[in-house]
Formats: sequence, structure tokens, C-alpha cells
Amino acid sequence: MIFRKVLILIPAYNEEANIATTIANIKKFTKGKGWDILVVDDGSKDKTYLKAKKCEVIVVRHPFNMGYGVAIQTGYKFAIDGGYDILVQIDADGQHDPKYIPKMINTLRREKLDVVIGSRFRKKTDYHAPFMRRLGMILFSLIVSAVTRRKVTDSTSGYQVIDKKVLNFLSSDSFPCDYPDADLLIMLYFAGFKVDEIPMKMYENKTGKSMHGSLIKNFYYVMKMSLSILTIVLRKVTGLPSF
Amino acid sequence: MPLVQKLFFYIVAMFLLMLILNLVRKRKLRENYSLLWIFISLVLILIVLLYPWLVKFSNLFLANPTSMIMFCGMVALLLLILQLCLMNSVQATQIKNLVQKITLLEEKVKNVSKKK
Repeated sequence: MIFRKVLILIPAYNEEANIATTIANIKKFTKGKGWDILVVDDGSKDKTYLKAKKCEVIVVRHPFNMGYGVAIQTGYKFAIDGGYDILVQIDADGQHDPKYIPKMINTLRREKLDVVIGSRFRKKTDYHAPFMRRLGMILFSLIVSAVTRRKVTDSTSGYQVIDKKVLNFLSSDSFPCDYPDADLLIMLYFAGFKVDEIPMKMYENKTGKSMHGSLIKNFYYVMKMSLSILTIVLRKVTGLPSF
Repeated sequence: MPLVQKLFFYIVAMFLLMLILNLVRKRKLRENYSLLWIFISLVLILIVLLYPWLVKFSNLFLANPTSMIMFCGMVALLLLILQLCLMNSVQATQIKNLVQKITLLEEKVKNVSKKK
């Protein structure tokens, strides 16, 4: 088997309570494989940076908070600089179970895919999202499925395995840094990348924090995402580059 | 338009033009960002100087000259806000790229220092 350089990317913002446990859990499944773990501290106000540093992983830090999308894009740029073949993206809050990482990488290789997404809704699990968020997830998953003509069940999952050939695309300025999920999947489809999901179990967020926290943020998310999808489709229809 | 009103408009427009030119002179306002402001103050001066033309133009839309000035002013302000949003969008992308570059360079510098 050809050895492939793998980077596990953990974007983190104010995650001092979870970061050490998340890294320890990941290390259980990556032990002896020579994979690197990168924490991108998105300008946390707490001790996330110091706690991650103690775990003996690579930690980079934004000088100030830039948002989730910018943090993961910093990770993509790091992966390109470091010549990594595969990037695994996993949340810092411990909601994603790292036991799926080998399975996701194997699926990527076996099916010759470009992106593999861990889906909470591919199979029935005991994961429960608040009603409004669930509604948004269903709506955008339906839109993505309709546009890409493939069944997409979890368009907002941050648990992903990405092949290196997608990283240059994701590092460009057309990457939707605000909320890179449903719109990004459509962009990837138009760019000709192969994306598929595998079922996974996701744990409830113990802190209750979410980047779509308040009602205003939820409203902004829905409006921004709808506009983003509309412009991507319009660019495609009018013959402009979608990315 | 009464002479007092004309004079008032003229003074305001001239003051705006002088203010913008002075800001550009002191390098507090960049030339490219000042163009739209200069254009607006010149239009204001032209309105005063060519008032009968404004009346004719307003009549075309069955509006009175004062309403026409208000409407044009609002459109001009909207254009200025749009220009600011455009500039802001470009700068947001530039700031994002700079932050990412600094973050990654910092890590590289640390590695180089460790090796030494």
C-alpha cells in the first residue's frame, strides 16, 4: 500500500474544555500511523491554544477571531504547504467520533472519491438537533440533492475527509468562508469533484454552543446560504465560472 | 430659486469640495475614494449655477425641483454606500488572506527557531 501523508485538522474557538479530550480521542485511532494533527485556534479568548500545545500537536493561531470558514481554510493552506495527501476535518467540541476516520479514508481510496462526508442522517441515530436547525438542515440537504442529482442527507456536516486535489480549490478566494456547507457542496459538484457520504453517529454538544446560535444568526444563515446557492447556480446558468 | 437659497447651496457645495480636496491633500483620503465625493460636490455646484436646467429636468418627471434634488441626493448617497460596501468586501478578503499568511508564517518561524 502506498504511504499517504495525512493531516487531521481541528478548527477550534474557545474550546479549552474539550480540546484536550478531542485530541486524546483522535490519537487513539491514529497511533503509530505517523499522521499529523493540526489545531487552528481561531483567536480564542480562553486557554484553547495552551491546552492544545500541551497535547504535542501542531498548533497555529489566528491573531484574532475570523470565523469557522477562515479557520478551516487556514488548515487547507497548511496542508498544501506541507504536501499532505489527505486532510481529515473534525470538530473540536468532541461531537465527532474519531473512530470513523479510518473508514472514511478507506472509502475515499476505494471509491476514488474526492471528499467523504460523515452524515448524521444517512442512518437513523439518536442524534437530535433543535427543530429549527433540523428544518434548515433538511431544506438545504434537499436543495443540494436537487441541484447535484445525488442524495445528500447532511449538507452541514463538518466531519470530512478531503483529497489533496480538492485543497487548491478550497484555498481560493471563492471559498465561502461565512458558512461553508451546502453552497460548498454545490460548488464542488459544479467543479467536477466526486463527493459522497458515509453514515456516522454524532454526539450531542455538551456545551450547547453552536455557530448558528441566536435567532438572528439563524435567520442570517438561511438568507446568506440561499443567496450563495442562488448565485452559484446563476453563475453556472449564465456560463460564468462557478468558483 | 431665491438668491439666499442659491448662496447657501453654493457655500455648502464649495465647502464640501474644499474639505474633500484638503483631505486628499493631507493624504487622509485616497484619490480613488474621493472621486465620487468630488463628483457629488461638483453636481451640487452645477445645480446652483444651472438652476433653470434643473427646473426643466424636474418638469420632465412632473416633480418640483426641491424633490428632484432630494431624490438625486438619496441616489448619490446610496451609490456612495454601495462603493463603501464594495471596498469593504475587497478588504475583507485581503484581511482574511493576510491573517492566514501571518498564522502560517508564524508556525514556520517557530520551526526555524527550534531547529537553530
